Amino acid sequence: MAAANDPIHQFTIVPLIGDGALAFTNSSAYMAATVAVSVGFLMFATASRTLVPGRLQSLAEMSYEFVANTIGQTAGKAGMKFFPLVFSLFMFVLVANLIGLIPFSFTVTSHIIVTFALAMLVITTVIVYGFMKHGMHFLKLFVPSGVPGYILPLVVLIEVISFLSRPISLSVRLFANMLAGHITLKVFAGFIVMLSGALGTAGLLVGILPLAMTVAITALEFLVAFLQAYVFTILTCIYLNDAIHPGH
Amino acid sequence: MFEKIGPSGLYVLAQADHGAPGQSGAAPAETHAGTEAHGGAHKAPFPPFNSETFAGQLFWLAIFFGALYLLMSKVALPRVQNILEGRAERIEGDLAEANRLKAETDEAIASYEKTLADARAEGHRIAAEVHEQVSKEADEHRARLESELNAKLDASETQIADAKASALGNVRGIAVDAASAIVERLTGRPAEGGAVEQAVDASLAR
Amino acid sequence: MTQGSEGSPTPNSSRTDGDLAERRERLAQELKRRSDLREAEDAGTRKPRSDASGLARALQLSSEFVAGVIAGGVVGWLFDHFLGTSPWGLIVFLLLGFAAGTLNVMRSAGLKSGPGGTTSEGP
Repeated sequence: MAAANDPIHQFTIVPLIGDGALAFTNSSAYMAATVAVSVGFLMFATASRTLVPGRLQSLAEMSYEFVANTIGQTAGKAGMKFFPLVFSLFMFVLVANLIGLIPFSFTVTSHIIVTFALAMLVITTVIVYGFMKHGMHFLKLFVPSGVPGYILPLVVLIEVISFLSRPISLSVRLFANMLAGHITLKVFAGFIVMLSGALGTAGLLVGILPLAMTVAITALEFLVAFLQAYVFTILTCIYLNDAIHPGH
Repeated sequence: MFEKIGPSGLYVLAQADHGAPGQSGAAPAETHAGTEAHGGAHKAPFPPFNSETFAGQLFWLAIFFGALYLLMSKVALPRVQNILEGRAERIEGDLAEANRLKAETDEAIASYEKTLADARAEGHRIAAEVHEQVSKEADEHRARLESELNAKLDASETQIADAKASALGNVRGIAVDAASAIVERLTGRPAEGGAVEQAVDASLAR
Repeated sequence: MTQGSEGSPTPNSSRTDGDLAERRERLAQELKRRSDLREAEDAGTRKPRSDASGLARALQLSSEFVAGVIAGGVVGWLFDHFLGTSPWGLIVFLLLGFAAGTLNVMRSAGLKSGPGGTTSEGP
């Protein structure tokens, strides 16, 4: 029980099958669960293919149209070729965040390396596609128009750093939000146990306060789980837009 | 499969691998005194920053995210797209059908109104025609009657004239005879035929 | 007599006529509204993303600045590491990172246009 009160312990990675660097860990298992839930949800929801959608089907259609609209609004029609990628990212982040909210579960997105890998995937796609589509013209992305010549090198340097900061901001934001949220939840939940354990019946009464907090934070975390997935998606679209239209 | 192992079970496993966490006062060390024996000096890093797990996480993330991408792009998304496109097409079709039917209705109503107007004009025409024909027939009839009457009138007039002429002819004969008789009686001798006739004609002509 | 026999069907037929005309009118309006809606949808596929939820934007802003500084620091450290100019690279690039972070914040707050002189909202 005391071990479970450690707010950090929920992020520990434990090998389940095999050993060594590439062992199948709890993180891997939750990634698998995320994929299974995402795909399973879409497949199950669209199984009946009714013309007038049921509740599940309209949820699946909503997620589809939500991502499609986000791409359409930020990157235009040309962004649609990245739809599977953006949709996969959105579903992966969203489902991983939501699964992480189930008590005693592991949050895949609370590990910086995972979010950073996802962000790098986006940035790599942007760079590779940008150079493939526009060649050297893509570098115009770093040269703002209407800047006097003598200050240009500095501005370009700043723009490059700004570009490099994208995967960092993308990954750190998601990671930090998930980490902080789960630690907060755990700490408040720990308070309940500590108070009720230390003060007995009176502690139970006082414990209502952190309990209410825990409930409120859980609700907030659901919101954050969705919003982070949304922010990740919309920023992905904005960055992809740069690859599609680098400086007109 | 791993849900069967409780969270505290996982924790013990983690402790065995990385030694005591030691970064939080909330976990009393004596609970895990046994595992602490070989932990000791080397502290386990904060799990999300533990670079030992990076390779494994990246490896499995690549596999599972790749799988997710493949499944999404090849199976799941086309299905949703099919459904949405099917519905969009259906709505489009229904709207087009509604538009078509409306155009048809408009056309039908226009043609109905045209027919109605035509019929009305035709009615007027027929009525005028009939009216004209009837009046023409009546005119003809009247003209025929009039001409017949005229003919009859003419016939009557000639008859009357004939009768008058013959009557006048008789009157001459009678007058000649009467005059001859009067002259014979007065003079005692028969009158000269020619003179009497001349005198009668002269008086008749007067 | 003729007046009466003609009079009775007339209001009846004119009522159904009026009904039909009204229904046709409504149908025409509805169809027009839908086609307008469709056109608006087609035209509106590239609406500015100003309708992105404000909360999402606030969350986005929070890490942009830090990310810029971190990126500057990383580049500076790598610079020093490979060229042996420690600590000057780190200092210079941290400052640049600072500027980049500010740029990030301004850009995501919509105060400045996107890179390459384009607004992130598109043309």
